[in-house]
Amino acid sequence: MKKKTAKDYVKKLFGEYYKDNIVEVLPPTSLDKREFGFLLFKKGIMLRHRKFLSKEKLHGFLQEKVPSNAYYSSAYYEKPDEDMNKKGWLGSDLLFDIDADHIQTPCHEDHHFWICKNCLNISKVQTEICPQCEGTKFNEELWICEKCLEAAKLETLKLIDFLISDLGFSTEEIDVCFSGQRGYHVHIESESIRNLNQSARKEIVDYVSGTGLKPVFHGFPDPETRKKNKPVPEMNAPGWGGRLAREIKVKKIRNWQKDLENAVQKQKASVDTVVTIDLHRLIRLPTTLHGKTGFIAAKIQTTRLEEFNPFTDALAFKEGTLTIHINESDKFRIGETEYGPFKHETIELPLAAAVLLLCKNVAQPVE
Amino acid sequence: MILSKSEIAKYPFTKNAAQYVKDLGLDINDLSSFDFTRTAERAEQRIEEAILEGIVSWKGKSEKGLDYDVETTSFPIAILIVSTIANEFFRRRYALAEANRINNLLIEEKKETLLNILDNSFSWDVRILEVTISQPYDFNMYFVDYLKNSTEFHDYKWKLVNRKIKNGKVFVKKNELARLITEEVKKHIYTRLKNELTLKLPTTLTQRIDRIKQILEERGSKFKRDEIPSIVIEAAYPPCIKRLYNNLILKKHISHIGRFALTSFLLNVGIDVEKLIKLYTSATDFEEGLTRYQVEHIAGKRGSGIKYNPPNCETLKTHNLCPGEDIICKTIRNPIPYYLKKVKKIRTTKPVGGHEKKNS
Ligand SMILES: [Zn+2]
Ligand SMILES: [Zn+2]
Repeated sequence: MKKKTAKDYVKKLFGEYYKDNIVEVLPPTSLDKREFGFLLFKKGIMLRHRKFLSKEKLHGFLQEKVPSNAYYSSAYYEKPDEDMNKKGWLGSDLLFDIDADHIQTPCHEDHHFWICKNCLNISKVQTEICPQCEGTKFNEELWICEKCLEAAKLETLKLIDFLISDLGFSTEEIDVCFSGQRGYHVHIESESIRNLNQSARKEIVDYVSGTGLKPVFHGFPDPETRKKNKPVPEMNAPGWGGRLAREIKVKKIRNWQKDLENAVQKQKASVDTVVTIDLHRLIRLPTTLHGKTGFIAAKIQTTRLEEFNPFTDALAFKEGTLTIHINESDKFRIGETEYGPFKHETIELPLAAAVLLLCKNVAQPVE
Repeated sequence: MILSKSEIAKYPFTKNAAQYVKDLGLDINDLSSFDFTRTAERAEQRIEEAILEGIVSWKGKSEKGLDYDVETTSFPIAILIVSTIANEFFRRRYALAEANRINNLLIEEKKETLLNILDNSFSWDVRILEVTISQPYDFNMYFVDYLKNSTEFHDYKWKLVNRKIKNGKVFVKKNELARLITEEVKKHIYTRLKNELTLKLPTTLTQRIDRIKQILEERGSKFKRDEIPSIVIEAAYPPCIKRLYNNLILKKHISHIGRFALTSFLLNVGIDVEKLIKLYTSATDFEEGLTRYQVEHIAGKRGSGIKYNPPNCETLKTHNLCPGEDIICKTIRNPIPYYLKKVKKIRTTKPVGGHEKKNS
């Protein structure tokens, strides 16, 4: 009989999770207007243009097919299951993706690693030929990092402040989700923004990320024709004016232009520009499992985001242990415990920790 | 609040105006029922003004006895004529000329009147503000309504990021709100012109239409678009495309949208699909099949069949693809017009315009 691979094992665990916890999977609103997409464990096949008429049908699909990743469209369509140009776009939720990959944390360069497709050898640097087997095909992977996720959370909190204080959305209209791996997703479902076109969405992205901002329009001195001692906006001024006023120390200004640019960099929320502008985006279905971590893409109450910790609050496999052989792994944390680093070890780990390593394809189950 | 007779004549795109025309007995589906010689005359005049001057006149100020009914009813008839001629340039020209007339009128109106007109047309969420020394704005408006038209304007002051916003409300001055309404009116008229009518027009109108067609033809050549030169002039690429192009040659990483910008630009200036695929596959490790698929998709040979234009400068800036503007950049909003302008400049300063790209 063929040996069980990490993939087979993870699929089995995902299947058990969906069998026992299917009530935890919440369907999106306007279910029958959404397109669904799924990545299958088998050879990474992507199924698209799926439609479900009921929650039960969606649940049944997850239990039967057990996909490694599940997505749905931020868009609403007349016919979600048709080809792209026949779908009949009816509008889209407003979507933001905050991904640690887009944030310049001190460690963000350190998380890449490459797995040889042939022998699963792990390399921290990109090479053209595997030192172990001379294979030439690699999968690029990323470690999940607490510090980077903390940075992503901070950006998400800044984004939410823009959305509420400046753009006037209510906390009820804003849904925050852990992406399941390296960031957060923010969905806004509101009739008022559903029909915004791409240029309008781009303006919103530019707003929260400070792109094209000219401080002179907010009452700051014009660096070219500036007059000294011109008053700056009050710290409690609305919008960007107040944000910049709170950030700069007027008395210590050496170079208005530089200091204001730095203030924009500090105050802006780093979001992935492409995602928000795309009207047909598929995004991870909240409350489903992430195939690269085994974590839940958990929904988070906007007011509780600050205390959210993905390493305790997004765990799907909380009970039991599993013995695995680890090829190589960085340090990581699950719950209160820190694990690793490991190199060529066989070890019994709590299930969530073992699943993370299996999902990352750096370990195999030992039976 | 119901608009006055003169306001209806000034703003014939409003719901009040449509109702008023109906009540007068002018039925677009049965034009024979209405004696409209003067109306038709004024409609023709509106169109002529649009073609020749780019703005439709409003004589309400100078002419004491202006017939408001003729003004009001001539608007839907003009729309009917323009949509019958069904020429894209003409539609845009006419919508713009009516919008120009309206903008001039709107900036003269009281704040309350602007609100009245909006209630009677597009139902935006706008509120009047008290102007003080520390509060210079006349209105605030819901940012979604603001974004419906602000994105059409080039100036940085219109960018949402440069506006004062609080709780979803953007603060605007009166002339700014007038500008936003004007833009919406332009779109509204354009949409009406696009909705094709299959009416049998009375002969009095068909004669007028022939006359207008003639004026249009005489003027038409003047508005001909600059043409893309038949050879590719690399020296005329804008800074963003130059940088992307160099990155491609140097095998540096180019983002997906960067690749899209470069590909669509090169296709638009006349590099053919085969050459472009060669360029990509020799300079990078792209698989030919995938590259071919993407290039042909952008060229409009696959999928939707639409040939893509490069993204506008704004978008390129958002994705960090703009390396900084030069003088020409300040006058355009897309890489293609940049190319056309630069080509012209090169051709007027040098006797020879450029060289054909080598077929390597
Ligand atoms: Zn290998
Ligand atoms: Zn990190």
